[in-house]
Amino acid sequence: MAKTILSVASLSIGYGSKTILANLDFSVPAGRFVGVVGVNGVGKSTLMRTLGGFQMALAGEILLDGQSIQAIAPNPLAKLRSVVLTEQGVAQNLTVQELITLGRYPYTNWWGKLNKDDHQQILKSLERLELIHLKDRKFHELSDGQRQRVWLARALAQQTPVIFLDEPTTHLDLYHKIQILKMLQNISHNEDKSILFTTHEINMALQLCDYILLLDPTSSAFGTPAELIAEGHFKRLFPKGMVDFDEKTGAFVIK
Amino acid sequence: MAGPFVLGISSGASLGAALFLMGMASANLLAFSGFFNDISLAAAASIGSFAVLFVVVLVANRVRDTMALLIIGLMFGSITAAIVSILAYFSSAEDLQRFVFWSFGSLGDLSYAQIGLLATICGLGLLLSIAALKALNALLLGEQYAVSMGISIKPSRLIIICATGLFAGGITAFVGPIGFVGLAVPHLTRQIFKTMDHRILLPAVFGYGAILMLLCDVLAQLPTSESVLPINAITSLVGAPVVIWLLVRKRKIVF
Repeated sequence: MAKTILSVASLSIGYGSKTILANLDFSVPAGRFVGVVGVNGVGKSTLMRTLGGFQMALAGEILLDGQSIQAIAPNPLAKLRSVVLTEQGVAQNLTVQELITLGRYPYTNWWGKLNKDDHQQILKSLERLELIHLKDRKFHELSDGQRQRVWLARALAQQTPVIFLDEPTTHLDLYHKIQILKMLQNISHNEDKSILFTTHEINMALQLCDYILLLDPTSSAFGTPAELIAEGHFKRLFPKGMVDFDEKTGAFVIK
Repeated sequence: MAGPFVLGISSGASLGAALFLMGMASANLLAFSGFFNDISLAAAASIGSFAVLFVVVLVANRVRDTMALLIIGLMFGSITAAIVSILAYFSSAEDLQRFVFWSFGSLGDLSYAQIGLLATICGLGLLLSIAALKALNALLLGEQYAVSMGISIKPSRLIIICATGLFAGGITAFVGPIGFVGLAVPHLTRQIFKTMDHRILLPAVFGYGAILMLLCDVLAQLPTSESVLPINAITSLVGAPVVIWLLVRKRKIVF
């Protein structure tokens, strides 16, 4: 059994006095690929922001590598977790390589000087996400799928055991959705990184993920896809009538 | 885009200078002429720009929208302009003239002692800017990514604000409120140096800004003519069309 890298205990998330989700409990071993699913507005992005340390938890504890994230200083924290967010900042004029180089931020000195190891990691990330031929292109010239790969390469260059991704597959067509998710799964398993991502692609998540975290206002669930299917959690995910979960094929079907 | 003029910082310096030159005169505080020297004018202008900068930053923490911030800066400009015109209405002809001449701007008429003081202020500002370079690069990706890479937002923001206040206040005090250089030069520099890396942009902007400023000064006092035009008029005549051209050509300016 791999050691636990992320563990969440009786976590409540939300804003101020408004609790969105309460009593979340789960722990993720190192090198696992975890999909976070739930209906629109259930609090997937809020959870990702809270786990990433951008937003205070209302109650409960988040342990990264055995330490509470509140107790970890900004720089050591940046070596434990990296993120891929939905909102994309002002990076339009950066080249692919420049953007990925920024991922080395926690490791460089005050001037941002890159040493041999930094260069190696950047090159490795470029190769890993098949971006070598695009490395001098401007970010704004890229397609949505390529951009997502660049953000992913930046997170990878940050060399963290945990990566949080918020909706990495939105705006992508079926082929590129699968391409990104396969890459993520591959990175997770081969480089021993725990990857948590939110997604609406439940069918794909069921086929690719080691664990699924199903968010629900009343009772959230965490487990392997097979466990969650056996316990009937997907049956109650959406209101009845329009769509139904077929337990034999493990997929949602339109009625 | 967020130049000192747009954010109302230069108008803060104007307000400081106006209060000093006209307000104190009308209050009979300048009865002895020894008190009136350029050092105290510099101090007044710096205090004015810091005060406005401080208020703008307070407001900026509440509004996340850059466009709203720009409009707020414009409003601060209007407020200071209104206060200045009220002061002008009540002050004597000589005081008014002194302020008007100061507001024309001039690169000349400085003693070596004053240049020394200006150099010290700018040196301090430069040191702070260099200290903020790495953070500025990380902030290219937006605040959340910067946080995720281990940057502490509050101290970095404080350093950047202090550097801005020192430069804008100090320079405005000694040479007058010269417009558009601060707004146009960074964008012009980015047309030449195709990079977003602040470690290259900082010295480039310094050099380019100085060259452009001296060219405008040459225009202001053409060798063949006796009269010297106000430098502020020249930079606005050159700068404003450049900004309009940039906006029209790019349609969307990267802030």
